[in-house]
Amino acid sequence: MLQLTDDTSGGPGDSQSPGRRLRLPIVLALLFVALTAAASLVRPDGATPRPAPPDDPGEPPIFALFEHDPAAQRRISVANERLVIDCMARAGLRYESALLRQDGEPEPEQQQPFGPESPDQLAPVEESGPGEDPSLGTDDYLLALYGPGDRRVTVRGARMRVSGPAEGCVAEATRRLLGDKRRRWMEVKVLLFEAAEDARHDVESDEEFHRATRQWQGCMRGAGTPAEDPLALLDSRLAHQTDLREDPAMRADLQCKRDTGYLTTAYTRLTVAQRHRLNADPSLAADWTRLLDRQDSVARELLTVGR
Amino acid sequence: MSRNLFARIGGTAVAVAALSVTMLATSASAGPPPGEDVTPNDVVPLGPYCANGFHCVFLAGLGSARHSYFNSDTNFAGDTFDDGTGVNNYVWSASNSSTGGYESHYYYGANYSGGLVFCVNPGGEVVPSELTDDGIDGNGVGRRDEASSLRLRPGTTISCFN
Repeated sequence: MLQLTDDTSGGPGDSQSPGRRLRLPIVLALLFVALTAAASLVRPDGATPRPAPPDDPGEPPIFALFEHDPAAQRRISVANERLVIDCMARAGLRYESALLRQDGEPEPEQQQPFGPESPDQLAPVEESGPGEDPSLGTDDYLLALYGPGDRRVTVRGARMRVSGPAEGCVAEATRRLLGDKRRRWMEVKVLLFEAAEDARHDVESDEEFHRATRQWQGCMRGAGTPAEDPLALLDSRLAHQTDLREDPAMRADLQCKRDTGYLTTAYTRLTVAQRHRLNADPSLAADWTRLLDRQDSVARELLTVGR
Repeated sequence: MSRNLFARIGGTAVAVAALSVTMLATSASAGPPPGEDVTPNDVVPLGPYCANGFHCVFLAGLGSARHSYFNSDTNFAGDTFDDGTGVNNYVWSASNSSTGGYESHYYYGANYSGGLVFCVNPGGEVVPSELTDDGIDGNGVGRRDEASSLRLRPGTTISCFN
């Protein structure tokens, strides 16, 4: 079970004004922090970061892990699919990879822990893929792909249980990328998912977040569309099955988030909450990064050989 | 609260019974592949619960009332599990038997809106009754009883469950 920890600073000099001879080092330190933060926003692969609210307080660290090095994640996915194709071919079967057949890059999934953040997120997603191929629906095909149905690798978090195939070509590909660390990779994914959920729940009892919500509520009342909080509003509007772009309450939601700085406060508090959760088990972030790097290293080799 | 608790309890009982039978039947199966630890308690059936090429959702545990999707579905409203219960905001567990490498992405709202509830890798299963739930179905809080649409996406989201 992940536990909440306190990372608030409490050193003896925290509330004192620094002396004159301390100011230059402090300025330099702040400059270094600013430059480091700016550098971290420049992604080496040139990928577009997800939209940030005004006065972006920084990405919550669990979300940052999920979005870490998208180019590496892409290489891992492509290598995985090629391994599955080769494995299925050895069994005399043709595996049509949706990823390798796709034109262009899929849009990354965007987290919306506080509801929509921009007008484009109110729009229906216009995306229709080709879907599954019915000609592949044979038992032999599924057996080659996923192995026997009773051979599974299962991991458990505090609240959920997840399993994947232990044999077959999908398992073989994963094993090639992760070696004997597959179970840990599955476990880390579940625990990070739960930690993100826990952190979101923690924010609900945060006083600064309450204050931001009250300001948002006041703004919404002023707009003639009173609501309890952004998620409750979204839920009530989704039930109407209408185009959210045409919904006055949803437009007011976006306006009030901007006018009151709601998202800045919400993300700041979520960042603190996620950091607490991560600090409770430092191995999660370390293993996520380490195992991502490991898979990427194998993927690079495979993709180089495959050229 | 869940509107069909009895159906869920019944479905879970069926799943547990089927799981027990399968575990007995497979106790003499071959050992795990090298480097992989597959413990007997982790054995969970796949095939019978979600047919080839389908993305399945369940009212309760695996083996309970099911609805199978072959493609993306922009709105679960009007869809029913095979016991007649509505699917929308009543998805408890999920299984992915894609034959083409598609991930199952489940969203809080119709038209893939409202954010991602969770996603499942090809061959993956999120196993019964353990997704988080605040007891209010379809209110966007928690993960269980919240999904309203499904999008099949090529496998690029490595944080999806498997």
